[in-house]
Amino acid sequence: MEILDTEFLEKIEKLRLAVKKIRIISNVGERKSPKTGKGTEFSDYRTYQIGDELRYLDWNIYARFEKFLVKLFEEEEDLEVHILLDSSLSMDFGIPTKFFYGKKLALAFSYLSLSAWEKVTVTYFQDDIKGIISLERKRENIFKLLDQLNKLEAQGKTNLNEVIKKYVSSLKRRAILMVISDFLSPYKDGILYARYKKLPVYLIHVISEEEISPPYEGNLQLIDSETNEIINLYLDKSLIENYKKTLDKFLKDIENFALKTNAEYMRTSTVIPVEDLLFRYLRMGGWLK
Amino acid sequence: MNIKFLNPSFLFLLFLEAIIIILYLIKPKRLKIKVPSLILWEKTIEEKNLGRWFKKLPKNLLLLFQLLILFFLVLSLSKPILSLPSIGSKPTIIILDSSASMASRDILPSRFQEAKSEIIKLIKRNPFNIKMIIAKEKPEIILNKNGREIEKELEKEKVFLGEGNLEESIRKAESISKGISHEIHIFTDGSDPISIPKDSINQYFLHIIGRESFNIGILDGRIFPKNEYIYEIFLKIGNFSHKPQEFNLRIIQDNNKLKEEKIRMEPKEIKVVKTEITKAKGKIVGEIDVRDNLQEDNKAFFYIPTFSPKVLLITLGNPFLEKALRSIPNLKIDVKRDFINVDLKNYNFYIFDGLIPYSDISGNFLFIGGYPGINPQNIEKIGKVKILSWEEHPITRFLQLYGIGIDNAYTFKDENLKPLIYTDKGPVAYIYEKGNSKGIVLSFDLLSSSFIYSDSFPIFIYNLLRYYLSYDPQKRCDNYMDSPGFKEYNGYLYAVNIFSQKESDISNKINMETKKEESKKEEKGFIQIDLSKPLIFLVFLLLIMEIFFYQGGKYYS
Repeated sequence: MEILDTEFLEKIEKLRLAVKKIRIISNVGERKSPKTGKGTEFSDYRTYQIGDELRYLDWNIYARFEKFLVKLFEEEEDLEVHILLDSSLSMDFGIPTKFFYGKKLALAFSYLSLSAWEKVTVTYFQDDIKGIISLERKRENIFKLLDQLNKLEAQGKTNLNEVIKKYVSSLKRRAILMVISDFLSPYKDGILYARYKKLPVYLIHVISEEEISPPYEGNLQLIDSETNEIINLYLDKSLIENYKKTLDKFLKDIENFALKTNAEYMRTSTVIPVEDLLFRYLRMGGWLK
Repeated sequence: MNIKFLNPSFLFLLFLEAIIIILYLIKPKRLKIKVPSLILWEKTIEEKNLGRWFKKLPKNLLLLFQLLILFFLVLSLSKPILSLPSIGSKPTIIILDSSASMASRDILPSRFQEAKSEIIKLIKRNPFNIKMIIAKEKPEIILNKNGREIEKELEKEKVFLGEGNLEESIRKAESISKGISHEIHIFTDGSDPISIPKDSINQYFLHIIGRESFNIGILDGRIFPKNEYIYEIFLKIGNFSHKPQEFNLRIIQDNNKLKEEKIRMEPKEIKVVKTEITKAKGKIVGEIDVRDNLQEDNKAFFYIPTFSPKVLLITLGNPFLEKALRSIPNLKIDVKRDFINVDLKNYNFYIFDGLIPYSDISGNFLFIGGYPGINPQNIEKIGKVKILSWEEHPITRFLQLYGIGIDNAYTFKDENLKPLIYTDKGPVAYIYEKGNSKGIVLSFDLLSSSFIYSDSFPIFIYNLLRYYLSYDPQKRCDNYMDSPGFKEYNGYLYAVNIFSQKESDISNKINMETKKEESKKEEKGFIQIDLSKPLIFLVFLLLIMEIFFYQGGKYYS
């Protein structure tokens, strides 16, 4: 069994130092809210209105132009990061397995979020929520997460829609929702519900190489890992080509859906090392600053 | 209804069915592979459209197809014959009288056409298992054809302007029935009496075609030279009607009327008419102007070919030979000293006097002193000799060769040479035939013999040319016997006539009692259907379905 170790955390730490200021998306932890208010960072001016605090009046401008302008500051908001990790049997494929890869990603994002002083919760699910690991804002809790993730094994069926809906409805505050899954079960209703609740959603799609180009051919009996359903087929080159077209369509469908629902979407294969993914792909894609 | 197998030994191949089933049972199982989810695979197969439909097919459909294919293939190889009971539908042999009398037009368009349409009607009633015999001089048998093919053969068939041979055709029909009871239908006008074998297992049906028998015909004709200027024509004319007839006989040469005379004939009278004409040559037609049922025998055609040999003489000089040749009327001669740049097509006879070509040349020859390809070991010198005897041959006709001396003669020993003239020491003249080369070989030099001084020499040369360059323009050949007239064949012109009393007498000579007796029987027969071809078709159909289901089903089963 593949084990997550502290060496990986060291790598993440180095990554954090290398990029100096890590902010997941638009500053996880030290997040700027869309509202302006009582922050410390200057945002804009507006004309004074009765009731505004006088201490925010810009006297210099008044001295120069004799106009009352009030300085506006970005209001900082304290959001939580919720990472939903798919731990169903369908994730137990690939080298390394999609599940191990997902665990690594969950660990990395948790660590980066904790480093940015965010409140992090990691939840693993199958057809229902199977466990919630609350890390609060304590960086030392990362070891607790490491330990728990190592004990975790992929099993059972997936039900993304139900799990996301259930989880989102249990949230009392606005939060960032990060879903790490292979999305091989219906997911659209759950995501739509999360977006309806105005949660920023980040979809991380993990695929194994075996799924991208099946390495087998001939007279086969394919067994669904979760449902044990069977398909007998003769797999030849033409059918593999057709499969690839179907996969391509499936991936484009997720991408389009994410675009329409304004959710962030990132797809990765298990052959790409997580460190590389974080460095290159996430930075290039604007997920990290 | 029953099924017979003509090749039952093939049926043992059915044991292969068991092998297919065993192979099917022990065929390798599918490799089991766990995949994260079947969602994408199901969508992939759905895109093939056929997937769902094939999923509903019985699992062992392909096996069933394979078993059926083998079963039908083996059955087809065993040649199953299905016999269905039916009245008047036994295997059938049709004999069609194709003799000249069938051209009679008492039934329009002709008796022969009427017979053909009746045969087609018969074939349509029972299109299987039909054999046909066309009764010409030598019966022509059409075997292994179905109704449609026999119809096509019939369309091509024309009346043969000779005497038919129904008796021989019946014997053929008896022999091809091979002990199986057949229906034998004879379509004839009855002009040729027939006798049906008494011990035959076959059932005979006579179809007499023809109503009236009004015919006056030229039954025979000859033309002879009476002297240098006058030719005599003999025509044998028969009146086969029941009334006295009066008509004109005309002699026409190259569309010019030479003579016309009135002839009166009593019923059933046959008479020979002799007439003389002058300057007869080329195409001559004797014609009687009667409108009877058989027009084909109202004209007699004669052709008198002009004898005009074109001779090439290769010689270093032989005035006697040249003179003998030039004495023949209408002969054209070219004398050459060698054989270079000579177009052989311009000549129909070649004389090589002492100069012999190395290789064979097709045509008619006189070789003097040797022949092409002669082996020196086969030559024997016999020296001074005298002619003692000669073979009876058209070439030696009217010759008196006895005692003719030859100073320096040779004999040739070759299987292609047949001796013609003998001396006291061996033959000195031979008939030479090798491939298309035909002629006479003389094994001595003409100038060293007294032959050239004798009266026989020019006769010998004339006979030689006449023998090789003449032909009989009245000679009969099956290749042009479809209508009377002048026909060109192999570069020669022939005069074609019916000249048959039997055919010109177009009345029915078959006893009606016999006819009734033979046709009244109608017993149960069988339609026999060869099932091997439909089975082969079924095999192909199943094979196509097998491939189709295999291709469609291999993705989703």
